[in-house]
Amino acid sequence: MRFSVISTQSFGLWSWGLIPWIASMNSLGLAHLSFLSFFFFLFLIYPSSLSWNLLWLDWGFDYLSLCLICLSCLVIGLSILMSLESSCSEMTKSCGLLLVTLILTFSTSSLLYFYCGFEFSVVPMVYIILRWGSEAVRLVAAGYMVVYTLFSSMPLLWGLACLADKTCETSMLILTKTPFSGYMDSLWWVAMILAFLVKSPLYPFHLWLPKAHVEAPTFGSMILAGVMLKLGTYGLFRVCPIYMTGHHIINSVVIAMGVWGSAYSGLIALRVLDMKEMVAYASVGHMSLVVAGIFSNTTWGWGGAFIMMLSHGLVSSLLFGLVGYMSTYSGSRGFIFNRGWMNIRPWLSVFMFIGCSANMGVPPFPSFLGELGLMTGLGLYNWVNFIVVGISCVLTGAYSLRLYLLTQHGSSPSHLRPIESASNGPAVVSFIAHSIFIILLNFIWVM
Amino acid sequence: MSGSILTSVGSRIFSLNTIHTYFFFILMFSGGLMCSSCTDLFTGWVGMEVMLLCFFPVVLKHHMPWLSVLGCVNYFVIQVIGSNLYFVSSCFMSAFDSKHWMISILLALFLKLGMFPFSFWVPKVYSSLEWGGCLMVSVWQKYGPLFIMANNYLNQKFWWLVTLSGVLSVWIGGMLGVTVNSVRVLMGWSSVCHAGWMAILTLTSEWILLLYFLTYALICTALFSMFELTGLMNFSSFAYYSQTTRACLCLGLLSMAGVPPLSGFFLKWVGLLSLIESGFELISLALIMGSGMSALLYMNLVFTLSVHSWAMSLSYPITTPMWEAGDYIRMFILIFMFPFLFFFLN
Repeated sequence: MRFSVISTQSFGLWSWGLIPWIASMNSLGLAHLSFLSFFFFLFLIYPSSLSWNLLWLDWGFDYLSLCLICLSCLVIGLSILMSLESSCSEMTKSCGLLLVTLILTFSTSSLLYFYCGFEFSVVPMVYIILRWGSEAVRLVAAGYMVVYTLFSSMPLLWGLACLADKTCETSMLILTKTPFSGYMDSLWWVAMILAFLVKSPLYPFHLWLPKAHVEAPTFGSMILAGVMLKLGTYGLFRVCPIYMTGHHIINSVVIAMGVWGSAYSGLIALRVLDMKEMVAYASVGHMSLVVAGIFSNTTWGWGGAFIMMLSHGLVSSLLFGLVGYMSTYSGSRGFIFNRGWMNIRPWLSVFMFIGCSANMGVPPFPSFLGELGLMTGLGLYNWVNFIVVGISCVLTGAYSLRLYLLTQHGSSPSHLRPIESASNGPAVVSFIAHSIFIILLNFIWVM
Repeated sequence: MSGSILTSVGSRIFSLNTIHTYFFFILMFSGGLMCSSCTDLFTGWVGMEVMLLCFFPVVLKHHMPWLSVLGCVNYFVIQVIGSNLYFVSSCFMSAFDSKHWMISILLALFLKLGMFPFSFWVPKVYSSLEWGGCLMVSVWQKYGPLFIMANNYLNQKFWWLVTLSGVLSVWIGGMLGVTVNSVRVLMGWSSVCHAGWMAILTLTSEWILLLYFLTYALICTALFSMFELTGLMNFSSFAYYSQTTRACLCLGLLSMAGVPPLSGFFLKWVGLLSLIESGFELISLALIMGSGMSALLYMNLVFTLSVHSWAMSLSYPITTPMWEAGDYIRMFILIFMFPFLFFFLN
């Protein structure tokens, strides 16, 4: 029991001190704060090594968590910038709460703290969907999100309690012993990974994601796709070393679901009529591949998953920003109402081009490196995966081209004409910054 | 601003205005202590009867006694049936020297706690009581039966009955609670869920049970007095509340649901650790899944509180029940007791 004394106590104390300070800021201030903390953590990466740097008790970080902290600071800052014109104090508060929660979540070495942040980060996200969602269906969408994440994270809590009780330790640093053996071991392993699979999301558990994205406001879906999904894959990166050597049957099932699910969600993305839903299915496909890459237990797979995770964070954030921008002005998320944007906003199609080609993994963009690593790692696991991952990459290219061609080319409909004279707003800055950081991601140092 | 937290909140939600109601209040606590310190079943019965009889003068407000009479009568009938069953079967147990009468004793206690096979009375009673009465039924009236269970060694022998009823009441409470439209009935189903947890914890460790009970009592007190102070009846009355009131209510409900940095998570974590330590691994998995189900109880309420309300956009001002600053501070203290609780574990 003593172990639990220190553990959850300090999670609470840290976060409470920071929240009132951040709650007193305005939106631009919070954007500044998140950019500043992005650069702060970015410069921490280089002096720190790949291994863990512990600060105090169970608080500290390694390379992976520093990269994810940087990603969350950047994406939250850029998403605030994206909807700066319609910002209000509740938006600042919820984004600030999310920022603090994510930084704390990624900077612990204890799985229990991580669980706390993993669970709590759902609260501001659901609030964002409920408060700024446009239609009454948002209640259903938020309900789906809560039910999926809640039900899947209860077994994780049980798994952590088993781990804490049998091995007296929940630290990520020395996660080598498992509490059970035999069939209980398999049950425990499913309980440990299920929450992360749902959060990532792996293909069959993804149903909450497109709904949540369709109903969320632009900045909400940018944060959701950019950072929140990475909580799941980050958790997998942390718990998977337990089964690094053994070939667990469950791991093969997860790989199969990830690889085939990626191809399926590519097919779904080819035929949906809603732009936001399409980008959501694109992120389901990419994240399923990332999950499969983590479970392949190869160096290539892990490196590819790492790069793909970071690049997907920025690329999907950019795409959601663009799609949200278009649908704000055209009044609809449907492809039918968004044609010929190139005539209306020529600069928009530049960013759309960058976003779509980064999404499909064209060489100068980091997604290419990610896909290369994932394909190699999964192919090393089993040669069939080469074919399926290849199909899913082709499908990715196809739906990215579809998104670009349908929205940018063709004659622009008459309801878009009046928009020609509207001002651009701070969204452009957000798109430019996204594009720059996507390119800069190429210079990342692979684990 | 006078007295401690308990007195000032208590004087608003209970009828603690005159000296004789204080007398009944203290008598009720002593009945609970009698239950928790008894060594035989008969003394426990006496303690439970004292608690039951002192419940009514505390809960009925003497300037408007008609408010919760119906709930009190319903509650009285159910509790008397439970007590009689308990009394008769404990007499039979000593007369016939058969351990199997413990089954019917346990069933009588489940009836008194409102647990699974007998949770039908919960919506009826909660919907016709006031918030003070609901608080008493949820918290203090559960103390006696729970600690009688924890004290009796035969409880361990019939562990299957306790775990079956406990797990099922967590699941059923969550399932039946999500369809409910009245906030008090919803809190009633939530108390069924927590009673399930506590009944299973009687099998493990009395200290953990006490810790669970105290934390649950704190959260319940905070939440129910917030409901009382905001004059809340059903979901539609949320529309008039200020942002801060909504945030407070949301935090209280999330704490009840067990969202991590709040006190409610502490209940789950401590309960799970203690159950796994005693070897109930699979049962604790079923229980925590049911806890996920029961966390959905509060979802509708929290959603209603979070959605931007139409009343905000009205042009005329709406008078809302105002809170003093002290009220907010009290609520925050009660909800965020979380880190300090861990010091008791050491």
